[in-house]
Amino acid sequence: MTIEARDVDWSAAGRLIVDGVGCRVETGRLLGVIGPNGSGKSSLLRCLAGLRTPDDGVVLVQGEAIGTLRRREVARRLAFLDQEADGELELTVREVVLLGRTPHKRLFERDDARDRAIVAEALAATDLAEFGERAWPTLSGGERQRARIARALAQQPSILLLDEPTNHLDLAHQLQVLRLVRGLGLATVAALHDLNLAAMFCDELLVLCGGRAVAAGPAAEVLTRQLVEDVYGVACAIVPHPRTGRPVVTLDEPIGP
Amino acid sequence: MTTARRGPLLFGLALLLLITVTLAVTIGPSDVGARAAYDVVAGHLGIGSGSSPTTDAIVWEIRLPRVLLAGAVGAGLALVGTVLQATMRNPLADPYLLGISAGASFGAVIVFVGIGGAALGLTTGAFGGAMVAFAGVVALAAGRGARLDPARIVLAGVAVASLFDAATSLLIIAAADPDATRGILYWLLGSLAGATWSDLAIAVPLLAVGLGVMLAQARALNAMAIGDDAAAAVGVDVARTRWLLLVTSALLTGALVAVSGAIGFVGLLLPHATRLLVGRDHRLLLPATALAGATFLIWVDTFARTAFDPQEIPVGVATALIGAPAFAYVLVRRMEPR
Amino acid sequence: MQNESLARTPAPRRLVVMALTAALVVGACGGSAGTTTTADRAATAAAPAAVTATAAPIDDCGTRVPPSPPPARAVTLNQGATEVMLALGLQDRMIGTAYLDDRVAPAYAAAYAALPVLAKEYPSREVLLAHRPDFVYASYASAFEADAAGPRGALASLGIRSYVSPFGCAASARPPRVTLAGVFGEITDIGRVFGVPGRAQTLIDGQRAELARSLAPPLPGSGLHVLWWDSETKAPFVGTCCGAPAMMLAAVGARNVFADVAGSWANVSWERAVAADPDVIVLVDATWDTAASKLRYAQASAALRGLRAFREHRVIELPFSDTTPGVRVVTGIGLLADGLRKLAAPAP
Repeated sequence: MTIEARDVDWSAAGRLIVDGVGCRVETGRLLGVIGPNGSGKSSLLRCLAGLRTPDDGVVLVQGEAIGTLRRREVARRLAFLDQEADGELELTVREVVLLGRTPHKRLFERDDARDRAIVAEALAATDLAEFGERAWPTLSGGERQRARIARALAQQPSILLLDEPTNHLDLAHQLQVLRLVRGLGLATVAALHDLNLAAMFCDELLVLCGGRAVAAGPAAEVLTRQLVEDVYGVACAIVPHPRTGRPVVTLDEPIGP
Repeated sequence: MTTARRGPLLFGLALLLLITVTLAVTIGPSDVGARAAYDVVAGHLGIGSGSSPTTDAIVWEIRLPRVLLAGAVGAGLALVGTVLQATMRNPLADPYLLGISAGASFGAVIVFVGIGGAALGLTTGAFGGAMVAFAGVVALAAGRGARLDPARIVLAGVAVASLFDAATSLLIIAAADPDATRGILYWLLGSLAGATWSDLAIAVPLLAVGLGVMLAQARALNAMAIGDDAAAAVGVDVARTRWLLLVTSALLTGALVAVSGAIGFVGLLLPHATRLLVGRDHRLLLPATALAGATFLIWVDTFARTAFDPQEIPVGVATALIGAPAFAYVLVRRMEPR
Repeated sequence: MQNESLARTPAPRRLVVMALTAALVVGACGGSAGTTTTADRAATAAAPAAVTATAAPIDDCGTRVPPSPPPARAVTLNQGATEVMLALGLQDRMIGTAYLDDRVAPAYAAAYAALPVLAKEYPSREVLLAHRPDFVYASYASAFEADAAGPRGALASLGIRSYVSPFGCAASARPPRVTLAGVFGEITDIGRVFGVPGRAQTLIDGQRAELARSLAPPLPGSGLHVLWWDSETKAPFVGTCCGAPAMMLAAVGARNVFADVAGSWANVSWERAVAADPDVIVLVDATWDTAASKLRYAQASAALRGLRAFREHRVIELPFSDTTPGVRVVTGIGLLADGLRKLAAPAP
């Protein structure tokens, strides 16, 4: 399944937040959306997920405009991982992950063994197999993040949209999640703030600055000293990874006062 | 709460309700007791010989409609409270959040003081007032676009309710006779006295329809707990679902308030109490709350009509008297560290 | 996104309810009565001798009311008080009335029409004082609330005497039962204050004579179980043990269905009424709650229309003002007795 954005504009409170952004992701490809805070990454993802209606431009899922699809149909094809906190839910982890099955259930249809199996798989994949009966408020930030990912997995989507999936996660779990996501082979778009992780895992990068797409393409092409300085306003040095050859961005603080 | 426990639990609650109805019908300020009551019911069901006209009137025309109406109103208010708490993500939401009770009171008082030439019945006036208030809340909360934000709804509800309450007070002070005021007070506090079979003919079908609509949205209600965007992400059409549930809630509450006045506390307390008992899955919580609400209000109303025999206190007073300490208990339980 | 902390502020509706409750507690129609010093004096004061104006002050609801000099600018704040004054022919000493419940009795209608009406209900203190009264007479203590005439002590310090019917005192000072002795005692008190004890005695004698005629034996209500339905429908407001309704029913020899309930009136359940199967039902006719509307409700109610009293139309309608303690209660007793006799008479 393919997801595509064409010339998407989106504004809120009179301000243009996403400005003419386009991208296209096919099955098996992982697109990393990078850019500083406020560059419109979250908003773009929400437009891709159909949660916000673009003022201009269109989002297409397998060629169909997402606005013409019913919410349920969208949720069967596409899972979206929210960056925002859920708050103090009084649910167990299993119940939260089970919510991911909602779009696949008809009216009054019960949860069956298959649903429970899918939930168990999703929990195992995110290293939460023993957390099923834990209450949500007792989880750490990282555990909650993994549980949200498990919920997205339980949806069994063809397209995965992740807004800062590595937030709150320790290094080991950051890598585990990104490996997992790559391994699923879905059409995936992930907003990331860590340039190196983006470079390491993503097939392509889309760089946003001030709502506009300023660069797009493979990491090696996109990540340059100049770009990092223009977009992030910091000096850096880019060296190739000794084993993979992918660009590694290191900060280049001048020595001395 | 696994599926396996669901059936027996609901069956248990239903049984409790049945026992409650059976017992409540035998209780009252006159001497008509259990045997006489059952004779009357048997007579009407065609399996017995019935009773004297007086006993029949007492059981079949006074007690039974009242007990059944208490059940219907209790179930309906508890149901609406549960749904609103879930869709607004606000544990203090209750059926009167949407300005319904304030609007209905205003409509009722207008009829009481005789504006409109007493052409409207009390029930019609109350229902009309409720719908006008609800329309006001929607107009205030919906704003540009149809995104019904829970925070806006709550605030709009407070604004509209305050306005209608003030208008009601003004009307009472300016136009009502203090002697007539007593009747208004009874209505404002909620009362099931004088319940008739025609009241039931209004309340029960609406309750059934409301329950059906809400049960169909049970999964959506479960999903709404995690946030509007997250719920949308798992396929819930949040705006449409919220609209549907609000309109259903408003209609059901309006009808219940029109026949029984504004009985408080049931819609606020029963959802929390039932949640403690059965958990947060609305597929179980909704029917459980309805059954629990019905049982609760029948007992409270029985208390209200017999505790100060033969004087009757408005059931709305009794629900608060009993509900407030019970609610305090629920709060303490929730605040205990897990 | 979560707004769980958004607490809903308590709506003003609770204030509405509290205000109404307060108003009811204070302004409740009538009260229960019993014997006080005034009633005792009335019962024993058989001699119609002219009492000098410098007699001892009257004890009224715990306030002493000096009778001299006779007031010349009196204001009455309730219909009961108004009618006592007009029945004693004291309209020339009055400068205004207030708070008419129902139509004034025809006998006093002309005199009433000639007097200014200060307010539809209670006038505010300011309005009252602007008329410079020297005497304020009310039937209920609610007339002396802060939003009405203001406390009696404050009026007294302005040189304005006041009087409240003993049946309308605050609950603690109220006599336990309404009695004819108490009703006549009030008339006697007013007669004394205004220096017309003779007129008061004449009026009382006339009322006693009327009573004797209405209540010539056999008492028309003896052996009858009567329900006194004052107002409201779903939980009817009925006459109970100790108010004017109870007194009137006792006077005609009837038994009150709700004689075991305390107070003058109370909201009860129809269940008790239906179980008692009353022989006769009294329907009070007030402009805000007519006898006709009560009958309509009874006909529409499956529980009530089967009652013998409604089926056979064994009902008596009484005007509201003839059922509260005052100069008309004797009229009311007469109407009640006549009504009962008509029901007992064999059909022609």
